[in-house]
Amino acid sequence: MSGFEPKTEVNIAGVTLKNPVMTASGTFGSGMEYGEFFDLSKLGAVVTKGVADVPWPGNPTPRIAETASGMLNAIGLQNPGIDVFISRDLPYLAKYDTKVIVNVCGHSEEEYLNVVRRLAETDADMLEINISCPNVKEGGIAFGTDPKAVEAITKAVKREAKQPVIMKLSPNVTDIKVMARAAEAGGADAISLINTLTGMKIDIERGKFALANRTGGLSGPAIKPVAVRMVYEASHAVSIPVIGMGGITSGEDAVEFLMAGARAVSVGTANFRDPLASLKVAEGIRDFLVRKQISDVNDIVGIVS
Amino acid sequence: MPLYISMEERMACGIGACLACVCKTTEEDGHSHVKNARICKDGPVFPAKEADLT
Repeated sequence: MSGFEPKTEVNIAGVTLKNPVMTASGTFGSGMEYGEFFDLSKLGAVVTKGVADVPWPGNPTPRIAETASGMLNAIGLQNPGIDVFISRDLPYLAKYDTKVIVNVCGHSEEEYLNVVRRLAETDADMLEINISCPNVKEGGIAFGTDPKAVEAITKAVKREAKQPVIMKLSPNVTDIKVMARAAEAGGADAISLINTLTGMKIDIERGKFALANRTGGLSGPAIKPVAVRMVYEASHAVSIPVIGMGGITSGEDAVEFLMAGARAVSVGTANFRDPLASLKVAEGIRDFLVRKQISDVNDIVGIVS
Repeated sequence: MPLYISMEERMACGIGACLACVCKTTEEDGHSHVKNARICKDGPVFPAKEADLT
């Protein structure tokens, strides 16, 4: 048993991560705040908050509400815009030995491409395209709920991107396999899922919506079974790598996603309860491999079928 | 006599990363360069003239 150290490196679209644990976009900023709690070099990758081509102010408050085993959020993608991101946030992350995956958002294909083109001039390792943004040309419906839009935005981004492209899928669809296939058909190098499930909370004492935006995205342990199911379905629908997320709080949770078919996982909401959560998930995966005497994390990917 | 105001808003991370607990400000904030300060990180106490309570 002593001296047994499992291999934890994974490869996503040609990028080697030292371990399969990343951070979920929106929960980790661009790393500066959590960098005060632990060494970001211990993570496989940091996935940054979504960045648009100009600063977005986001939604009015209240932006969050606690729910059973989870939370709702309607931050509204507040972000400083690509200029500040490139000048301030990327140099901070470059100090660490972790991969940098930049999440991209926009209201139209042109806005996404503006960001993708700017990022092509940087050392960011990969792009994660957030298609849960409302598509203003289609009346505000999210890009990610129409397979034709998923394929089109993927194709457009792939034409201009320097880095490998991960399409982040919304779970608010009838059939996740259709969306996964659309991303693959558009040329995506990988897919990540799930984003948040649309939900609502009513404050019965005040007789009002709990969130100013009325609806928000549900995240946290409550969504894990939905996420595991969708990761399983998506990884059997496409041959590109799948990054799984949704309610992961421990190494054991992460192993479920890996066994379902994910090559890597993201930790999000758990960071709010414990800033060291992503680190503990990475350690927990390793502890599981040691306990089961599995020599390589890749040996458990997709074994449940 | 300078006036200060202590703000409160629901928080998730409490460390300035998630952008849940913002309050409107009269000046551009140092984080996102919009007019939203983070109550947990930039506050919770602000000079009253910087808080936009409209």
